[in-house]
Amino acid sequence: MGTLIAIVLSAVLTNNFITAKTYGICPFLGVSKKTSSATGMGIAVTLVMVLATLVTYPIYTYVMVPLKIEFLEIIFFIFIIASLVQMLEKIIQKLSPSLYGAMGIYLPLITTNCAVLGVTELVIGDMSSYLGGASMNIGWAVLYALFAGLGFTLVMIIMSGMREKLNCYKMHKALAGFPIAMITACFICMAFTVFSYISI
Amino acid sequence: MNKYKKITLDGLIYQNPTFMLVLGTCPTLGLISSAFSSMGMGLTVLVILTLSNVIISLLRKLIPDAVRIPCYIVIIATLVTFARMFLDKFLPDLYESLGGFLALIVVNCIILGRAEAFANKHTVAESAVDGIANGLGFTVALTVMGIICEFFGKGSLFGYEIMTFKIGMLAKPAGAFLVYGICIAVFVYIIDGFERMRRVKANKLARENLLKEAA
Amino acid sequence: MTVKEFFKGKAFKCIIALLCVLLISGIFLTIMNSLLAVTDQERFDRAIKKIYGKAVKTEAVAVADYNSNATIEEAYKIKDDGNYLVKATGKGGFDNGTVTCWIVVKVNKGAVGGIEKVVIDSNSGQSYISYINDKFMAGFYGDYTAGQYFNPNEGFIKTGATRSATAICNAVNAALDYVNALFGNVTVDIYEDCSYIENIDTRNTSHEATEEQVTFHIKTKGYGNAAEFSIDVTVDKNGVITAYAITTDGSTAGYGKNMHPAIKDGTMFVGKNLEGVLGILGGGVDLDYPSGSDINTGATQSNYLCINAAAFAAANYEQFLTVEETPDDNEEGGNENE
Repeated sequence: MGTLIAIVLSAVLTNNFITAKTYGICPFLGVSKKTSSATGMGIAVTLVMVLATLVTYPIYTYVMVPLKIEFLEIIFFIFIIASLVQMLEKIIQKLSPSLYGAMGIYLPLITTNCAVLGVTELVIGDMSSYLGGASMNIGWAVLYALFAGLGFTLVMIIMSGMREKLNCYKMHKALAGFPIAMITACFICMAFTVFSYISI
Repeated sequence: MNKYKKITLDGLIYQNPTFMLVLGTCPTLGLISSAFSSMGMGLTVLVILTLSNVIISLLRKLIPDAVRIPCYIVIIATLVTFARMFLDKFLPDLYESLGGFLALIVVNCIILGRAEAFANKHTVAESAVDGIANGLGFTVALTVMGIICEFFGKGSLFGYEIMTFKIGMLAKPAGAFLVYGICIAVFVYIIDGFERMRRVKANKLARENLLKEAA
Repeated sequence: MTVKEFFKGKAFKCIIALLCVLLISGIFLTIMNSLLAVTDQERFDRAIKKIYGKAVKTEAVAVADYNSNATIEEAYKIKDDGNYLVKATGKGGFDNGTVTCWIVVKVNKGAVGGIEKVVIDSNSGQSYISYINDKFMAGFYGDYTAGQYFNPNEGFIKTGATRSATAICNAVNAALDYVNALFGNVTVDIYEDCSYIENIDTRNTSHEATEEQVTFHIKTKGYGNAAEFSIDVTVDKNGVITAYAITTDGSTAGYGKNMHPAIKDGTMFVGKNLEGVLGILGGGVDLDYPSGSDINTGATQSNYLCINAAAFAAANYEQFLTVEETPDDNEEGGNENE
């Protein structure tokens, strides 16, 4: 139970992917102009993060480590993520056209999202600071991926809300667009620093 | 020769991947708290980008269009894996300071972006120049921001302590966002100023010519 | 579509191209991996270099524990200058956590000459470990007298991470004990065989004895959220506590005011013998307080450490009483008393 709380709190708040690790910034800046699209992107990323971890973690621990081909991890992981995203796109298109309409356009962008590759690389690395006494296994890995994705979605939604309001103001050409988005992100990061006082 | 000059200027200034296109943001924001690691990341990307541009340009006639993206990804991933081994062996300090961002070079949009937008349509020499120019643009931008963040955030430069005054926030992601945002704004403002000056000059010339003709 | 058409078709070409790229990449990386593999020895040398500041040759030394406050994990003799590099895990950190440090013990003319460097390797649950900086570590370096132990409350700057500092001091002290033992100077722990020592820092505890009474200067270990207490307890020759005074209150974060007042001023223990002390907790020293007990005050861990200290004094006073002198020695003893 302690480990569960530690993973949830650190993945969502203290070590949030965007505000603490700066993973997945491209969609964070690119797809956060509207709350609806930010939510769609966040959920799509979370889904792919969970599925990717579910596939890569067992492959790494039960196939690559025994065969001593850990050095091929980057090729394997990126290939798995790319094919997973393609497959997911096709499946969603077939099963639910309405869902595809809401989420499908974000899926191709996810392959080159560092948050997905980042989480698969993180869970095979040293996670002892998140786990406390427990040892790493597939369950914790997927749980971490899920909550890291939800933390990502949370910050995406906050950011999109702020940007929607900012759009109402006219500002200097040099400041409009990315620069003001970054400065907004700076404030969100500062707010999230408060969570570093949580100690588990 | 003019062609190469244009490629170089585009990569360095007019289409600078960091300031103008805002690509490869994750490693930028994650590493600019230290000038050493941001410069190391810049140089690593420079080498990988140049190599991937050259290889993809060489293979551009051999790879069928339908599978080109997977092929590019495999080539880039191979180069990144190689860079990781190389740094671990010969530059362990840099390897450690780059941390997780080293593997994430694979998904750095600059590299795949240049492969897709430039290398698969141009000759090997052009692609190499493009890779070096874009890589240098990325490296210089990262190093400049790294120096700013490290100087004010840690009171040091490349690890050497200079002053005791420091604003700790600038060495954290929040400060990285702030410095990056302000740097883009300043860069765009300056480029904009130059453009305007050039336009004014051109207009003046045109007017003088017109007047001359009229006279 | 026939098989022949498939082999001539576009799909086949695509598959072949992709497979070729994959295969060449795989072969290239496999070759590079075997060429550029970093051996374990190299990794170890690198770690040592980081701690020591320069590349040195090392020789592993068998480890042994001489100090219950820490565990010696690894130890190496530096061939270049004869110093010792010890990896020790100190106990007593925040929330019962530990801190693992690499300690360079300077050797001077065949004896311990001091601490040259302390580097934190890892820790468990020490959330304030980042407060421990070089200025704190500087407290370890410098003059060292044989038999000296480091105490986080003396000679160190205040960092705000008192518990982590304690664990680091424990690790360093254990490293000193270990290297001293290598040179044959085993420090004897006189309280080793005493009872109720689970929470007593026996290394830093001392006593003064006469024929009539024993005064213990007890230093407890930290327990849970409570840090070390220093308590002076006097036990008379009948085993009854006659004086009890807390000299250093280890309660953290304002819990001191929640302690039981009779424990805080010692009146709860004065006049009680071992049985009486154990009676406070319903017949034993453990944290299972009888429900409704009036010492459930909100600073249970602090209260508990104080009770443990009283039990330690009351249980062990006997062996430290100065043995009644025979008439022959009377003169000498008398002189001492003067």
